[in-house]
Amino acid sequence: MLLWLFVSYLPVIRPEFASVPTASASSSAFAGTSANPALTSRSSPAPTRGEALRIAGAEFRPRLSSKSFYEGETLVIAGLQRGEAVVAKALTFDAAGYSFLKVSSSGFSPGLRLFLFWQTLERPEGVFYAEVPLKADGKGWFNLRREALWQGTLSKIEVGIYGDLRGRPFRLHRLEFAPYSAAGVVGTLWTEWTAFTPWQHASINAYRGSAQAPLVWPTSAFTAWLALALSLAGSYGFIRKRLHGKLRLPPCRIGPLKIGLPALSPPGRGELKRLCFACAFALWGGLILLWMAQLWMQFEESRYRFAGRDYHEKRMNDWDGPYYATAYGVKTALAKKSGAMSGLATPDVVHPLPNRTRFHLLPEWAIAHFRAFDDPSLKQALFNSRYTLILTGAGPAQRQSYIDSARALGRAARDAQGEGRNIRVLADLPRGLLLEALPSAAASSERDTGS
Amino acid sequence: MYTQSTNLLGAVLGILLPWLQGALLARLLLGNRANLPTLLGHGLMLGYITVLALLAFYHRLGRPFSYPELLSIIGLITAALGLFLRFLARASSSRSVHAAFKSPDSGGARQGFRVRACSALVLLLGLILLQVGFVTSEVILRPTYAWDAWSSWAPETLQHFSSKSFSAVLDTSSNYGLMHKAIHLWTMLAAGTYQSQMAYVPWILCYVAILLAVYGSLANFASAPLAAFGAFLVSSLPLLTTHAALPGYGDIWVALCFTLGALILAEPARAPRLKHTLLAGIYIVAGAVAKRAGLALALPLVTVLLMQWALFIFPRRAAPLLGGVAVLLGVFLAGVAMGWFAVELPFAIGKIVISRHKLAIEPFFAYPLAPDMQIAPLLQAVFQFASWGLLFPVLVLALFYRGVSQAGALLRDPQVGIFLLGLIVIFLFYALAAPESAADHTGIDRALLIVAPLAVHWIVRVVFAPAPENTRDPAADGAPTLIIWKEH
Repeated sequence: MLLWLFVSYLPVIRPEFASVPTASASSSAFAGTSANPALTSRSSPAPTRGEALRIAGAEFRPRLSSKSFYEGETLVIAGLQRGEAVVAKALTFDAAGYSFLKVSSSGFSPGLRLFLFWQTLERPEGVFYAEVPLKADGKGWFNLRREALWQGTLSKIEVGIYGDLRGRPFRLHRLEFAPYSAAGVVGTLWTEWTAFTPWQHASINAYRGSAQAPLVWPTSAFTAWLALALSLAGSYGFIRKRLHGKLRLPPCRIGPLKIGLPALSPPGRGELKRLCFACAFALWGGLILLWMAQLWMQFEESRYRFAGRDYHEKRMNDWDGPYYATAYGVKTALAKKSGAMSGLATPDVVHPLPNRTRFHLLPEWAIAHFRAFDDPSLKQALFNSRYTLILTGAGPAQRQSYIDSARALGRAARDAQGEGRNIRVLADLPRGLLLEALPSAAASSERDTGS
Repeated sequence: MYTQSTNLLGAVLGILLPWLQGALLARLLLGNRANLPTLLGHGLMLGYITVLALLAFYHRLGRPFSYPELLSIIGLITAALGLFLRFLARASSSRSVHAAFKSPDSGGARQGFRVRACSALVLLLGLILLQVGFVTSEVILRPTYAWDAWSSWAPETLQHFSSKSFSAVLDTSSNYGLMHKAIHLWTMLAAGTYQSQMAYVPWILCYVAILLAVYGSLANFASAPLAAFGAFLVSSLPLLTTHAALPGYGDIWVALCFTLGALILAEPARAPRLKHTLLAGIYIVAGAVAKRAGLALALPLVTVLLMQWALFIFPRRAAPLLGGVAVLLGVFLAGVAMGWFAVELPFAIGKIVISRHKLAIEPFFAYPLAPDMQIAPLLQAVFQFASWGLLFPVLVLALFYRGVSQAGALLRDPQVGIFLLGLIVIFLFYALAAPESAADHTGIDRALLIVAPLAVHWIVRVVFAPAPENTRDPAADGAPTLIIWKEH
């Protein structure tokens, strides 16, 4: 009952659905734009007013991917190019006619993210996008109206797949742009409530029950259901109490059978309480089931990423693997050595990765905090500590410039004893450079002794 | 390869021995009518409090933390407690120590175990085990993930592990007390390596201890399946599960301390007992030592504790006395809120400041107060987000039901007083002192975590068990408890 009310009044209570026109797709959208030649003759028919606009996966043209092919009406992406694949289709239709997107795919995993991109005739220079959450089976509905820029006449749509295919191809079967409908509302709600979101750092602060701001939050919906159930239970009790002894229907005789309603008794003590709390716990159970489904998917995800691996492999496979590898490289390069270490981070290494690296370096090496890489900080690091770790994600040329800067500073500057620093690169690490700075005199004596 | 091996036997002993020692201590303080789940729930916390005290003592002496040495001392304490309990049991010559470790000793639980009840119990325990299994797999599989752990306090414990003392070159944590740092350090010492996933197993045990405490307490009021139902509801609170599965935050430890302390104070008794007061006091201090939030959440426990003693000592004058205090407090708070006056109380190392614009116990903390209350994030946290399932709507329903059906029982129920005061403290803090933390939902749900298990416990008790005045006092049935204070 509530669902029916919700579907009926959603256009009233949500401003983005306030003026939903009847859908009418342009038939020109389908004129010879199919990417798969085999499909050109049997492209999706143009929808009539109020109908969904269906686009088979095979109608998309791969724009960026290392390996893709067609299987009937399905587009198969078997390889990503640097973690991404983008497929495109040129077509023209009015965004206002469509409120929901239905995605049908397989091979989707928590390692992947799916985005919808679109361009419009009104603003051809702009590319707009939205992340589309999907259920574990790769299917799902998406509320296009939540995107403020879903408007105008579309000229092109693209689908982007990002992340890791995890050894199995991603199959895009069909995209369906649908006008406002009860199925769309229910499908979108279900997708929003059941799409899997792996742990994030914010998971520890709150569990929202939905990957994105949904049409309605699951807890709010279940609370509304509870309120309705309580009202119905209350009404039931009230009616029974009021009609007790007044409503007497004569029994009906059918041959030897005597059929009649039992006398309506007032609700017993505690009966209403049991009914109300039974409703409450049943609805609570519904939310628990949604949560346990998330836990199960998280269990599968964690098992995929970490099961059967030792400490080192787990760390390498974690979200900051390259920074762990850097810290590990430092520990290996400086095994059985001691001395002070300073840390610097170039601008491309963003928060919290320096802190995370500090954690990985412990307990063998303690860096209070990583300073931003600049000449004063570099000089301070080189002259105050023997070892300096420069965190950077830069390429070889840029790294060489950092080394050159350090060497130039080491030669030019002097400490209190009037000594400069000889800079040696101890390790070139996945996300950093490990430098050793020795006073000029000490460095020359080390060279002399061959140490 | 760089991975160090874990001393599994040492790690298991390091977990089980303090737990056993804590359970024996709980048995001593709670009496032999306390059931096994209750003893285990209290035992974990008391065991780790002993570990913390030992480590602090060693640090004070300047001795390096030696695991075999520390474990031996805990073993000796355990043995001594066991012998003492045995002596007490013999002296009372009615029940053995072993008897207290048998199944939940309640009227409800003893009523016939029909097949339906037994099936429900098995199903509920299965569901609880399933969730504990999920949590365990996360803790064992996933390397340190919790932000506060790796950015704040774990860098210190790694250094403590390395230096075998509480000294550290890097001082990185500010909001965290010693409690779970000591627990983490202890488990690393037990495992013999800082790399073992075992180091975070205490967070699973903390989650399990909350479930055990709730189950054990409910078993005093209701049948085993209903107690299991309460424990299942607690186990399925999403944010509680998350805090166990992504170990590294202190809130779950504060939640354990708060729940244990509150359940002791809420236990039906004709009079407060000194040993219960002692135990509640231990949990109040432990919660405050675990995290700064524990300091604020100690307020409801202390208030109810003082009220119970006031009612006991001045049974006739307590009501007007408490009423007068409440009115004075209300006038005081209203005066502060209106800006009529402000209070500044200096003490040995700082001062307490309460004014319209500032709330501070310097040098520990100081919060500027927001001029307007921010209520929206609070409502979002309880009625919109799924962190607590349907807990708060059902709590409102249960409060309404109890208010309508037994208003007197509702007002006299200390448990209601504790969690409602807790909720008020949380809401006032996040509405006035830290509205930005409420607005981005980084703090408010975590604070609610502290009171949530207690609220679930109360709902199940209200729905399925008779009012508190109709239940018997489990510890006052002539059982041979070590009653230091006996009511006249």
